[in-house]
Amino acid sequence: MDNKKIYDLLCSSDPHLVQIGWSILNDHETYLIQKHYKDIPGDFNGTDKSAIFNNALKTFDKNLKEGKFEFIDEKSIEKYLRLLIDGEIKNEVRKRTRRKKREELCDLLPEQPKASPEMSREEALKEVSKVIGEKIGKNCQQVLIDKHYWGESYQEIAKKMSITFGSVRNKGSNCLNKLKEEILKDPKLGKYIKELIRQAA
Amino acid sequence: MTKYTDRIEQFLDGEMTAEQEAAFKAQVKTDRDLAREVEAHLLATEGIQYFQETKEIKAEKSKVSTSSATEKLSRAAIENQKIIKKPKRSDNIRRLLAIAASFLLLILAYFMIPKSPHSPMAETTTQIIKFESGTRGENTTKTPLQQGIEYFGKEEYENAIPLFDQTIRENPNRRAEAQFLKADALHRMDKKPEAKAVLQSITKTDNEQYYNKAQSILEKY
Repeated sequence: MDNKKIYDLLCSSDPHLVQIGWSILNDHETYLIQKHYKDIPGDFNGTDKSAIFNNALKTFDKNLKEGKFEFIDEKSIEKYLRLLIDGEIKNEVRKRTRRKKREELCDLLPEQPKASPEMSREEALKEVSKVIGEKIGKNCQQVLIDKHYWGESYQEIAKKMSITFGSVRNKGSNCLNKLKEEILKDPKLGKYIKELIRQAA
Repeated sequence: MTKYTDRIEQFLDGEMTAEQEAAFKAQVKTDRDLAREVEAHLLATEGIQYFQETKEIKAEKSKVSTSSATEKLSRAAIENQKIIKKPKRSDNIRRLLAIAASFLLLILAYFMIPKSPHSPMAETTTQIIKFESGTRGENTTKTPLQQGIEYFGKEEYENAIPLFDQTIRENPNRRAEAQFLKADALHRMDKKPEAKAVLQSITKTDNEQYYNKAQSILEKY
């Protein structure tokens, strides 16, 4: 993999050459991802691996445009991409663990009513989305999204925001508390949750 | 009101011991307050995902509409340009300008358009030539590959091939590019079996980029 050639292509002012650079990087998917095979759990299929690689490329593109990537030596791109791939794998593993645990929790909870007369799950989510937009500050939104949407760990978020791990963990916990309180305070959502719990009684 | 957040998070992140997990699960089944909070917790985290997904979809849509709006604007600009009446030039000047523009177009076409449009390798060849001519920089000494490309541009394929051969032998970093150009040169000289053999030799190398290209050309060859 000719890192310098790829870097020159990606930094070119000619969009056609930039495209060639990305297509060369794409061709190296197997080469770049194979080093991580031992870190990738067995339930990740080819599509999952490609998604991880594509996400790493997207982040690389973003960081390249924002000047966060520095070409130091002839292995710079490889090293950087491997770091991003490693992060993507960890995030995906975390997301899957949470999904599994969430299912376990759902099994313990009362079965959801087949047809709630008041509100469907989709409507409830729209309402929560509105609450997030209106009642949760931008900083809080960012921490919650990084943690619960992208599956990042508090360590990663702390590094990104240049604050301590403890501060981020407190912030994440406080922001989630605030959101839950707003949900329970919201007349429609509060009623929706009560309805779900009533089914258990 | 929300006293269980950290415990629920600990459970979801898989950070509890087996005993802690069992105790937590038992409590969820019996404690209505905890069950209510778990419902709110799950709704909140699901809501965060929904919020972000909606935001991304909206951003994607606006990107599409921005690009179409930009397209519309540029079209409008072109239309406006058409409407603006420029001061009339004398007929002789206009004729001279038209001839000069035609010459410029011809010169551009000579350098930019691959000489044989029927070559299945033309697209890749153009990319290689473009890249190689862009990488010369301030170094005025031309490599055998660049000299070969010059001959290739002048359609002097007999002179170009030995230089590509030299690159194949001596420069492993540019071997695949030289092989590709050699195959195209042979094709343009109507030496298709030889061109095919060179393409096949590319598929035996470990250069993934050119391997895929050579493979897809060979399938149609």
